[in-house]
Amino acid sequence: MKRILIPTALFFGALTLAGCATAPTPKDYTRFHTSQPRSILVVPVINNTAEVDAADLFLTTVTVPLAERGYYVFPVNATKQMIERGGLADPHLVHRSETPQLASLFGADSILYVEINEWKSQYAVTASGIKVGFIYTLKDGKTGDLIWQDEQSIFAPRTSSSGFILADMIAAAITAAADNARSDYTPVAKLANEAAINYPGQGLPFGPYSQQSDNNLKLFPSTGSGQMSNATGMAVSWPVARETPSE
Amino acid sequence: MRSMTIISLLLLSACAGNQPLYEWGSYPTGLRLHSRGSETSDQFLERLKSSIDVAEAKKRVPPGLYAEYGFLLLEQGRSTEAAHWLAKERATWPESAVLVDRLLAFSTAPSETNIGQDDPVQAGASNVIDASHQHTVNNDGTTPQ
Repeated sequence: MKRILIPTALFFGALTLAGCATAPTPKDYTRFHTSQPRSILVVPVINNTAEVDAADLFLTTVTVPLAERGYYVFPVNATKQMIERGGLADPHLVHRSETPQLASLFGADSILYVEINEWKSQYAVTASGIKVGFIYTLKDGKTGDLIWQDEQSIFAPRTSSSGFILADMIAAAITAAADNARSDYTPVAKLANEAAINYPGQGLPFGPYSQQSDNNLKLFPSTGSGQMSNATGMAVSWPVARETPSE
Repeated sequence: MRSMTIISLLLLSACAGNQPLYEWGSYPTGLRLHSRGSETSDQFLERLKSSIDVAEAKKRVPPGLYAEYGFLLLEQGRSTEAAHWLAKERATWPESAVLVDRLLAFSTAPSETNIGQDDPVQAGASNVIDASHQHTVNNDGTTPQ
């Protein structure tokens, strides 16, 4: 019994792993591994949408997943106040300023710049729900180089008639949100963050406080391709067009 | 069969992150309410303290929590208390040293009780703007040379 059980278990395990690793071409983590950031400063977010609350709301969702990933994350409220009082009230200024200078003020190993490209409710007979879209840009605090970038767009159906269990769970989470005032889409934003951070070969490698950081080189290989992003658009903090892989 | 399920679940959790590293309490909720203006600084302060208590009891205090609390105390002019919590952040998380020292230097300055014109952070951040080689405007409304 035992002899059969182990291979079967391994098979199932492999299936499960494959289920979370159906990512496209892995990104190149060469520069990330050289940088090896221990800490992340999340700076005020650029909001490219019409929802005025989106930037502040988003900023409250990103600390937990980054810290749980194993990084020291600077206190978002305190650092935001400090940056704004320092004369950088406009997030565009923050995203355009020199990364090493800003990082040195806080002693940050890396800075995460996020832009919100979508943050809306969609009402349609076929697909009623919430749509959010972000671009995450992580730069080395010393060199200012890009070390990781990811773009996510997530649609969460509002109804529970989808017959798709994950969608139902999301819908329930949205309904259950305590502060479910107009335009508070933080539950969906959290899903986008998870999708951006947690995928092997695409997401953010584990930080030093995670016991899984030993697996980083395996899960996030240095492919040498120079391709560190899946983004289709350019970020204010990294206004460089993505090199299209020669295929 | 049960073992298989367990192993699969283990692997699944391996790709979604294991058990949470930290006890967050109601800090994330507080951040959200405070950012929307539906919670005052006093309420947020209280919430942070209770989140710290819960997390300390479980020995799983998340990064930034002490500093967030210390910063709010500093803003209210409670420098001595602020220094205590900021020092705690620094002792727990060496990565916070630069930030904490910056704030501590300020909080222990004898004549200051609140963040104001002489805030070193403010001065430092202004330098960032000057260094960013952009056409921008200084705090006093002049254009940097």
